[in-house]
Amino acid sequence: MKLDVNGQVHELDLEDEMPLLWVLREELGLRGTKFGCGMGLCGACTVHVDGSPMRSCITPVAAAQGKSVRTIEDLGSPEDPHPVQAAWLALAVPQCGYCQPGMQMAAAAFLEKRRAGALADDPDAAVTPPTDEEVRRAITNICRCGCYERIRTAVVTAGTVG
Amino acid sequence: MKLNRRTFLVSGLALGGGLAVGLCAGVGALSQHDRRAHQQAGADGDGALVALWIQIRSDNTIAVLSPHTEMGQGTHTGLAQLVAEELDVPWEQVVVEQAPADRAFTNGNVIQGFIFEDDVLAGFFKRVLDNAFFIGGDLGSVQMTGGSTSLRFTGWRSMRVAAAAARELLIAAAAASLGVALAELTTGDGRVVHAASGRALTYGELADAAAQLPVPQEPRLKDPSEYRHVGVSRPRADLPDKIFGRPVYGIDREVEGMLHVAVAGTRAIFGEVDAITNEAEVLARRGVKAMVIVQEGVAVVADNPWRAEQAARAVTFTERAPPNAVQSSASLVAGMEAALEDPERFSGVMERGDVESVVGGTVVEARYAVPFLAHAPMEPPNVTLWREGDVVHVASGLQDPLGGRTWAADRLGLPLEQVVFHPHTMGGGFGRRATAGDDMLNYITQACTVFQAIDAPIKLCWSRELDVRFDRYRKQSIARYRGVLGPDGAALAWQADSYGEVNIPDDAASAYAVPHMRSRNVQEETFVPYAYWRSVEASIHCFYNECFIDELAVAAAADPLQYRLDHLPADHRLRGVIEAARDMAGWRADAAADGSAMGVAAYELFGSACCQIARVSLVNGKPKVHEVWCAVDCGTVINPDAVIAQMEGGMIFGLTAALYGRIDIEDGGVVQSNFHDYRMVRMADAPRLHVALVPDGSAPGGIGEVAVPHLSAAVANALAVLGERPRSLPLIS
Repeated sequence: MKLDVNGQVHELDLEDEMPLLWVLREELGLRGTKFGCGMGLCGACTVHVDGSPMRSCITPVAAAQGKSVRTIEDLGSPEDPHPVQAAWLALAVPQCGYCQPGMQMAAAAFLEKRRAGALADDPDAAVTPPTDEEVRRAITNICRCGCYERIRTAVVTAGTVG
Repeated sequence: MKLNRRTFLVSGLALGGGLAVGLCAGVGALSQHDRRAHQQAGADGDGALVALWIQIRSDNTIAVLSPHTEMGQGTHTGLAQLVAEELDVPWEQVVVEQAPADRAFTNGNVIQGFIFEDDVLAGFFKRVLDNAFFIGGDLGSVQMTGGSTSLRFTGWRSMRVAAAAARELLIAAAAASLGVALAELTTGDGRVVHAASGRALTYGELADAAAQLPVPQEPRLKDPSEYRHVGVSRPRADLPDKIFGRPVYGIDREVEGMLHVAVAGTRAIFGEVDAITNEAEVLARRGVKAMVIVQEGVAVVADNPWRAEQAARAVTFTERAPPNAVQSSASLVAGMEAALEDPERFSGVMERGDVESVVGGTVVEARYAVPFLAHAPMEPPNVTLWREGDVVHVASGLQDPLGGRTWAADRLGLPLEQVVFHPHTMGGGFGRRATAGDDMLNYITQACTVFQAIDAPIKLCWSRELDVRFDRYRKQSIARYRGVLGPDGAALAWQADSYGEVNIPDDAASAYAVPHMRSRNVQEETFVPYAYWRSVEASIHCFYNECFIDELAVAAAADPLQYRLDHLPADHRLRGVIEAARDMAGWRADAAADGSAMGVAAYELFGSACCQIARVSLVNGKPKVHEVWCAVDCGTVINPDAVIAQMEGGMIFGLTAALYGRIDIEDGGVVQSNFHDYRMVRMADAPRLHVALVPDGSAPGGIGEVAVPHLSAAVANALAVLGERPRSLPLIS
């Protein structure tokens, strides 16, 4: 099978039902995406599939074929951080940090889709930052260290960028 | 600052040149001459343990070798701040490195030395450390990050003093080199400067010479008015790696040719596998290489973690039922109830005044209960093992890397020298990764069994289900309280009886100045394995005490917050945080027009005092926490933002326990298995958090655990305003 990850196409010989998470981590060596629960409950494994946030621990790799997968490794870099990462740094969001790649991918997908939606309706629309309530509904990942206060503030902050 | 007599400052040459300064502990009888020999040897001998924490390298970099491991609490950054402060160097000049899991970096003696000679620690805390240390059997095998000790002990009482001594050594070396008096020299930018002649030498240039000089044992420490790093929110050193998704955790470790291990657990805790009944079938699955019977389960080895996990789920086996296989949470509670009725079984008693002497008055009685709790760190337990020649390498994220190394060496039957441990930053600890004692490293035990059986590089990683079902748990406990109020409503008598393991009456005792007080505990072990759980005993006794004082206030028809203040001594540290939280929250004791109500809890733990006020509503009959105000007095604040972060995180950790936390035992095994039935607070039920720092200027208190216990009581107390008072946790079942 062929898998497009972060703009690179990989040829793989794997079981169709192997979760995307383990393909990314073990077959492609992209270990930024994390295993947390294996049931799609915690979101530590969140990646983008065609721009939508997906829990990769319950997404069979076959379901990602023909689509484009984006992981934390492609989100941004210290030299060129994604607005979400810039806000995360500015607000010192992570504690243990383990859930944060998934949390940032969920936040980035939320903001990017929200912005795209607003601009689709009106190309000249001034995109406003999300409200606290929107962020509360959008981000369902678990952070055991309990960084939610800063995550919420960081998503709102990032929402005003770009 | 003077160190205690069991510890002294030492210096030596850093590897590759330069000055290393640290602490030597456990050799009080050594003469100065012997000390010098130890310093030169730079290693242990005669019971001496040398920890050379600070290295000033010839290239002028300053490295702090942290014996403590990072799990997001900011310890590495805080330690670097203390070193930068007393070395008097710019922040940018200091780098933090993880010290190796080596006896040279044990902190067992350091902390223990302070404990035995210092009465600032509560009895409870001694017990925590004694357990942690003595289970290892040897203080030299402990390198523990726990008990909120890193900055309090290693940092404030030791490393900071070592940094001050290093600065004096560098000045002395400069004075000799430049031929000028000490008093003419200044520091501040990583150099020793002689302003009069315009000459200066960098610390790096002076380091080799400084290493040859005798170490001052009582260096001058800065006055707080001179601080430029302490009290400043320096950016946490661990953040960029975590934000840019770098593979820094134990689970990310990769070794050439590595195989993956998943485990099928027994039904009961401490169940023993008798025989695998479908071995051929499982071995025939794609990628499966081997199966090994291990403690509490069957391990399956495969070429991919998912294949290993799928195979483990397909394993069928017979197991011998352990004696505990008939036990349940209910039977355990019944046993506790019986124990509290039997005066002979109280093993710990704290008493002041005579509660029996108080007759008449208004009597208030209450019974409370809390369940077992699991830690559930986001990174599931995992460990990687591989061999290079005679040496076995072990990689994992642990709160006690040296303890883990020792544990693995013992399991593998190897001398310590033949085991190298690679400490990783942890995806959550909370006590789960705290110590080798109490069989907490059961997953490392399993991995060692597999490694011995197949002698190939392996990574064992537990599923979330294994993590929840084979954790070691915060204990289940019950309590029975009785109070007597005088005619004016003031509390005259307070009696608290509670059941649990490692209960300490001092800790269970309330801070309130009630003239007649008795706290008794039954300390009996159950088969359910026990572990330190973030905030340890306080997570239980804060709930009991802070609910009961509220019940007394209600019986006295008093404002519960004011009632607390009325029962605290005038100089008690809790007063400041209660008043700060009250003012910040705009406290009101009755329900607001919007149907919400406030509840308060105040408790001192790990050397810090904290008060939290929660504003709570009932939504569809369930508690909804809207907002929490938290005031904390941690003595001296080293990194304000890190303290605020720990307060915020601690409150959410505590709120999860308050609302959802519950591990049930049925037939000797754990009922819950993953986040659907062991629920966590998420963004949608996370309240707005407000934190105020009100430090009193005393030595730093702990931070990592300090905000955890309060919300259980504060939310319960708010619910009591709105309706029926809950007396057991969790509040939502």
